[in-house]
Amino acid sequence: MPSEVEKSVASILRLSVFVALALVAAGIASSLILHGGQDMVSDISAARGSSVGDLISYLLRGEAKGFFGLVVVVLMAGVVLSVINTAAASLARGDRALAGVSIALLLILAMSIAVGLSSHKG
Amino acid sequence: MGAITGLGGSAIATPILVNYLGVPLRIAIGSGIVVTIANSSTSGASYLARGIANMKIGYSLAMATMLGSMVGVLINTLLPVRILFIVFGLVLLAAPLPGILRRGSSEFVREPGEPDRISTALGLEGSYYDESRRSVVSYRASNFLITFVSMIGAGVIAGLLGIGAGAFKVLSMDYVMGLPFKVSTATSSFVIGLTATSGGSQYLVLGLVDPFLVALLSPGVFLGSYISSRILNRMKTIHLRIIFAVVVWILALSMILRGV
Repeated sequence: MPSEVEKSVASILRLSVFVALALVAAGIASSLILHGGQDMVSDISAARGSSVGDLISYLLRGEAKGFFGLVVVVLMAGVVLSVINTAAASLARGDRALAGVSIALLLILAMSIAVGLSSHKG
Repeated sequence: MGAITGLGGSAIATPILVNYLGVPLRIAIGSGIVVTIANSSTSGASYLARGIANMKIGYSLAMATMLGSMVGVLINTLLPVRILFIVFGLVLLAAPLPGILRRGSSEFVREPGEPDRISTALGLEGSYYDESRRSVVSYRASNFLITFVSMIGAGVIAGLLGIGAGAFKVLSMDYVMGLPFKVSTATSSFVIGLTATSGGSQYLVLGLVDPFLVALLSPGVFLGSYISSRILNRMKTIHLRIIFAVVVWILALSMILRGV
C-alpha cells in the first residue's frame, strides 16, 4: 500500500499536469481572442527554442507561446515541489534516509540549472 | 506507449517530430524531454498512488540518473547532429533486446534477493498487489552500488537524447537490483520525471526547448499515459515486451537512416 508521502507526491504531480493542461487551453483561448490565432500559426520545421526571457516577453504580450512557456515551468515545478514535499514530510517523520536523498535531489537539480547557465554563457 | 514500455513518451515523439514534421533534432530533443515530464507525472503519479512504483527506490536511483543526465546534455551540445541521429537510433535499436533475450518465462516474479547494506539502510523494499497474478508480491532491492552506477549510464543516455531511457532503467532495476518487472517499469516511469526535470532545465536555459511543441504534445501524452498506466497492472509482461520491440525498432531504423 502506498504511504501518505507517496500519495501526496502523486497528488502534486497530478495537479501540475492538470494546471499545465489548463494553461494549454488558456494559451489557445488567449491566442484566439487577442491575436485571432495568428500567433499559433507557425512553420513547425522552423521551431526554435525559447529562453526564460523569451517566455516572459511572450506572456506579457498575451501570446500563446507565453502560456505554453508556463506549461514548461509548471511541469518542472511540479516535480521540484514533490521532492520538497517529500523532504519536508520525511524530516517531520524522522525518516532521515529519505530526507537526505530528497535534499540531495534538490541540490542536483540546482546544479543542473547552474551547469546549463554556465554552458549557455560559454 | 511510453508509459507501458517504461521508455518515456519522447522516445516515441522525438523521431516522429524529426522524421515526419521536420523539427530540428536538438529542439525536438529539448522539447521532448520536457514532454517526458508530463508523461512521467501522469503515469508515475498513478503508479505511486496504487503502490506499484516505489518512491524510496526511485529517489535513491534518481540521484544517479540526474547526475548522468547533466553529463548527457553537455555531450549533446558537443556532438554533430548526424552522429546524434545515429546514436539515437542505435540506442533505440538496443533497448528492447534484453527483454526479448531474457531467459526463462517472461512472466515470473523473482524470489526476494539478499539485500546489501545500502539498500537495507535506505529501506529499499516493498510489496504490491499484482492484479494479473491475483496475489501480493513482496520484493527487496539488492546490489545498490552496481545499480547506481548503471543508472548513471541510463541518465547520460536520457540527457543526451532527451528520452526517458526507461528501458535502461528498467534493465538495471530488473536484472541488477532484482525487482519485479512491473515494479521496475512503474518506478522507472516515476524516475523519468526527475531525470527529465534535470535535463529539461538545462535544455531550457540553453534555449533548446520550444514551448509550442511542448504544448502540442502534452495533451496527447497525458491521455496516453493515463490510459496506459491504468492497464499496466492487468497486462501480462510478455505483452509489454512485444509492444516495446515493434514500436522501438521501427523508430530506431528511421533515425539511423537519417544519420547515415
